[in-house]
Amino acid sequence: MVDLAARSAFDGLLLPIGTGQGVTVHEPAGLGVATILAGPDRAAFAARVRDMFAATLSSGSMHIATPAISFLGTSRNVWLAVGAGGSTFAADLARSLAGVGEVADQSGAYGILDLTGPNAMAVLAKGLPIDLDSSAFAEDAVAVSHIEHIGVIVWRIPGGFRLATPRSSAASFWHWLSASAAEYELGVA
Amino acid sequence: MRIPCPFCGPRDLSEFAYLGDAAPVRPAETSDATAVFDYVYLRANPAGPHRERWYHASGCRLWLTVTRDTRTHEVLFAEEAAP
Amino acid sequence: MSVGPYRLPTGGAIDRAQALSFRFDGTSLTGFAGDTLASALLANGHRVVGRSFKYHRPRGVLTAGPEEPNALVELRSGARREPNTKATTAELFDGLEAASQNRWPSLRFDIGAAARLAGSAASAGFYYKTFMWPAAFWEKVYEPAIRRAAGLGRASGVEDPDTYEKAFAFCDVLVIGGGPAGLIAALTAGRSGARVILCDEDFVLGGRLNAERTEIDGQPAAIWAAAIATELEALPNVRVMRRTAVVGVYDGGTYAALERVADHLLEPPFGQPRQRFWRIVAKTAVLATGAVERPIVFGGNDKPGVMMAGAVRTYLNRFSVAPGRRVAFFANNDDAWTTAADLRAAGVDLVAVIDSRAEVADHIRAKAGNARVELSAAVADAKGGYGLTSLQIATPKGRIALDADALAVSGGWNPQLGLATHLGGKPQWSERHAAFLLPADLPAGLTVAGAANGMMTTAEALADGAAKGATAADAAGFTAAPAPLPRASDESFAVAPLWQVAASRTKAFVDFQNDVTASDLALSVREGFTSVEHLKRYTTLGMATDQGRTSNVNGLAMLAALTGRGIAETGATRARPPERPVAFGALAGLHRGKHLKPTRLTPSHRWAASEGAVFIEAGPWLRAQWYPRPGEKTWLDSVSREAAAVRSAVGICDVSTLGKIALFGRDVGAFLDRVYCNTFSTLPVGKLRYGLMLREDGFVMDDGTTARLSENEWVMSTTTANAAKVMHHLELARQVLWPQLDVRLASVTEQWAQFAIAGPNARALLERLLGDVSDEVVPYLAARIFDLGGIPARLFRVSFSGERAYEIAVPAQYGDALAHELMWAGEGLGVTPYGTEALGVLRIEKGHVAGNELNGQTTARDLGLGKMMSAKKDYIGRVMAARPALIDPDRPMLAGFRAVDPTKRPRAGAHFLKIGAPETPENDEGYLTSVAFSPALNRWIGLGFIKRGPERVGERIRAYDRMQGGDLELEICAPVFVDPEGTRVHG
Ligand SMILES: [Zn+2]
Repeated sequence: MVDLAARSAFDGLLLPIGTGQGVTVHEPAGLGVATILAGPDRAAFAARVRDMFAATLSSGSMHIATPAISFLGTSRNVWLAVGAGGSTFAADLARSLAGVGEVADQSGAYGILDLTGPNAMAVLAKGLPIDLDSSAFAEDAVAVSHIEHIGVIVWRIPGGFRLATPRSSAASFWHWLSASAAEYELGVA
Repeated sequence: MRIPCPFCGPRDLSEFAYLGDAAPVRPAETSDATAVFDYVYLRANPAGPHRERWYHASGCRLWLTVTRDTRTHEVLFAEEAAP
Repeated sequence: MSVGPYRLPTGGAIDRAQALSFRFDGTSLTGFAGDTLASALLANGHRVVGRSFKYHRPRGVLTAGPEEPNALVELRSGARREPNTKATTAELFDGLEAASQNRWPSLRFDIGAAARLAGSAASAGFYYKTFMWPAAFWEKVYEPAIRRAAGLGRASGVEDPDTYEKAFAFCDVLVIGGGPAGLIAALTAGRSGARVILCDEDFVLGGRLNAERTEIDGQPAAIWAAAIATELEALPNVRVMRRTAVVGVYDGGTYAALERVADHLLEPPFGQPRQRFWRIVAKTAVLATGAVERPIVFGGNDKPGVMMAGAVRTYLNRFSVAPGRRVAFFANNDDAWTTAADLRAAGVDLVAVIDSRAEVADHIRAKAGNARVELSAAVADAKGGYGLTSLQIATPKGRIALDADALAVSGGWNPQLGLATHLGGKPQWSERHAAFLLPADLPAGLTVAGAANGMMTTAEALADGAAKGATAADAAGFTAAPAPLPRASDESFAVAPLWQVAASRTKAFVDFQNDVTASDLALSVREGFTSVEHLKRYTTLGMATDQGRTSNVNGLAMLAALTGRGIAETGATRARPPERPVAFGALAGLHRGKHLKPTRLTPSHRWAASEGAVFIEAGPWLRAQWYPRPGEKTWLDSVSREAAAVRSAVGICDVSTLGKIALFGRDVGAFLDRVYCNTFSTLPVGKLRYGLMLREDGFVMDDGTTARLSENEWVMSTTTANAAKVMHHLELARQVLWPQLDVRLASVTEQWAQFAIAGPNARALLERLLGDVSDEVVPYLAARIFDLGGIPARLFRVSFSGERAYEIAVPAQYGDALAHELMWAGEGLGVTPYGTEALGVLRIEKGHVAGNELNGQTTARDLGLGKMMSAKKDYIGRVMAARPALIDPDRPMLAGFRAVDPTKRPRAGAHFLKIGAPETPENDEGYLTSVAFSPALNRWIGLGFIKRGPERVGERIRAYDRMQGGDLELEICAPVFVDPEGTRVHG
């Protein structure tokens, strides 16, 4: 019986550079990630999402959170869903949305990092060309952008930000992050 | 330059890829080669407001129609290219 | 410890309790916290701080700011040595080391100056005229000689040990400059609640307020500035950025700024960069960059000891340094007389005031006290070998001599508008100011305030700054309350233009840094270079690192006079970013060395490394190129072993770098029919097909396979290189060309770790993992989904090598584990990891085209794939692919090639010639694209394009490679070298 061990994108990369006083990075484990593409019958899709997840997805650059799943609007009628559920997350979503929307598993496509602490925003300012001030980046905002030529999706979590970035670029992304956060005593949780 | 993506909001030029003039329409299957040649190669080059195709490559991946003044680079308007 | 012979006993914004020791040209000196290198050198009596670029003339400090043309030094030593650092902006720190430039062997005695070429040797156009011929002389003789004799300092020559970074900032109101106008603009906007960023390049806010004895609201102006700075820093919506120069204005309210984070420290603190390059996006901006005083062009005006009048005030009042023992001054305006008053107040001997105007108001004249005053007079020549000792003054009564060791000069003030013209605006000449004022067409969202806007008095600048700050905040959507204006003086700045002193007999400099003289301008005009842009390039006026801040306006006023035109008509040269020199390090940020671009690693990278892989950069990817084994002497040994193992046993190769796109929807089949030249709508579920994609101009764009996983879900693979381009293209087709089709796309390149398992033992290997994968379950070109220990694994029966082969894909987090499993499953089956080189060998042996052949200049026909182009449907590229030139039978077409001498290695890139034909472009018949040593054939083989290739099998041709010196005989053959019947793929 084959039993493949999963390896997270940032496995072995996250080494602290300081005390974590200014900023802390954490790689959440076991998250399911999937792209949801609404079908042509938008009303049916919306109704199904309401029924299955008690959520109202508007087609915008917004983060709609349910206790189990974060729906991140990444394009017109496209969401990145992130939630607990590991390897069956995408399949479960696909079952729930069968007939009204499509689901592409992205569980291995992203490295996900939580960046928290008083200097989290200052660190991101060193690469992310997005205004993260609360006047410009609301509680439920999502930004699909890039940092140093590496794609990134950014949204808020308590005390900071969650970032999703392509798995293949994790080492380069960490080079940027560790260099940029060094002056703020980057810690790893 | 900054482009106000209708989905993502105002974003830096570096997130976008440029295609060119938004005016040419792909000729129908029955069109003759001249029409296709014009579609592929013939471009107006106006001084002033110009409707152009831009792709939000590092953002929402939507194709946009951006109205830009070619003399000043002022972006007057941006909309989704898809109807 | 000496405080320096020229340091005044009291006053100034220096901290006398904090002495700093530093070295200049090896001499230990002392200064104070708050000093610049220039002020500390002057305090210590170092009047000569460098030699000039062309004539190696001794030069001293001319200004007290970033406009400095003369006082350029090499700062620091070793790897941190930085040439061309302005001593006037370099903040003094303990342990600072600096060296003068352009001198050898010493500053005092310079060979270049002693033995300098006589007369006109370095006049305008010198380089153009002298070094034209012979061409070889330039490289061997002239350039090395010039570089040794001149140049502006020396680069360290070793890697910079410090880091640089980039950052983004956003605000409602950006205020550029922290002088009186900028401070009050920032305060007014800040109090409205707008997000304000105030950038000031100095280390103390206040601008000229720190240099003047004027009062605001009854207190010294510097104290007022410090109080405003404190209030600004207390506002949570205001960010004050000191040591930050805005250097560029770009479209859409984007500004570039350079923050000198650690230039004032011996070394950057841990984790901090030396400099940070900012991109600031601002809804509105207030440009409050003040004005720069301009010199007057007279003989010997570059002698050390000649200094701008405003700079003299700065050194007196801010740094508490006397410019000399016996100071004269020469001006054409009222403002400069303030310097006279300040000198007297500081107790420095004021020997004379020379004003070119015939009349000066009594209250202005009173500032000179009892000092000698010469009106309608001018300094004609400044004298002194190694610094100023005396002046020749032209007066209505004749020439008189005067002893002085310092001369304060003022020709009036130029508003600093460079940033306002970066987007193309043209400054406009104002007779009243005798200066250029702001252009009519300012960048959108930008307003100009204070002296930059021609508001030359403190009171005017404050009122203008407050008004522009309020306007900017309002325009950004806030409501700014009018702030009560502080009381300040309205000093007179009346000026009567004087550009050049006609009576001068000695060399009179216009551009100090590039050593451009008044006679150079005259020569340039005589030779016909009369437009400002031509004059600039011919004489190099204003082209040095100071961008002509002290020279441009004088130069074009003189040009106007020489050509008999007005200044307005003559016009100004255009300012371009950056406004200040910016180090490449700052522009590069973290993108240095191997971090120039991000690197992408495959899911099994660590496994490959553990197998000893040698990696190669393939675009952004790092891929395993081959896996050396003990005893293998060259890469070719390894690659040949790997390729042979695939033909005889089984090999595994990570192919995850191929682009993968998921397509969903009812109309995917119809959509694929339009983007591929062959048909896909007929593809059954569970099957895959090879597809060829054309561009609309008829050339091939990409190839790959697309599998139909279910009725409405498909997955496409693209080449590694074109993954992003194909996605971009498909999105265009979906969103713009055929929005009516139900097609939805998701990139899944990152999601799937994919391995090729190729060779006669591939099936046996996979059966240990997946169970039955026989031809009944997984026939050729089938796509199946298996359960691999609870994980969905996709299995595609495709072959790039011509052997029985599969590709297996699992979610990328399992990729590394799967590689280990595949090796385990292959034990006893001869399993061999293979890299991109063996992959290339195998596909060349099979005549499969890849990136080298899909080079953007080839058609489906050229590739031997013309039959794939469907005649039954429309698709992108269909019409244009039928253009006469694209179906010309004489086009080079794909063929195989083998070296006649099997041991000889041809090189890709070689061009084909008929045997005996001279190697001229007309005889070019095509070119070789891919070359490999085939272990199966035990010889070198290749693929390439040659005229009517398929018709010429058996013919011998010449592969000529001028670049690499190759010239070999090859035989044309069919492109499929191994198993042309195609039986092994089923074997
Ligand atoms: Zn967008």
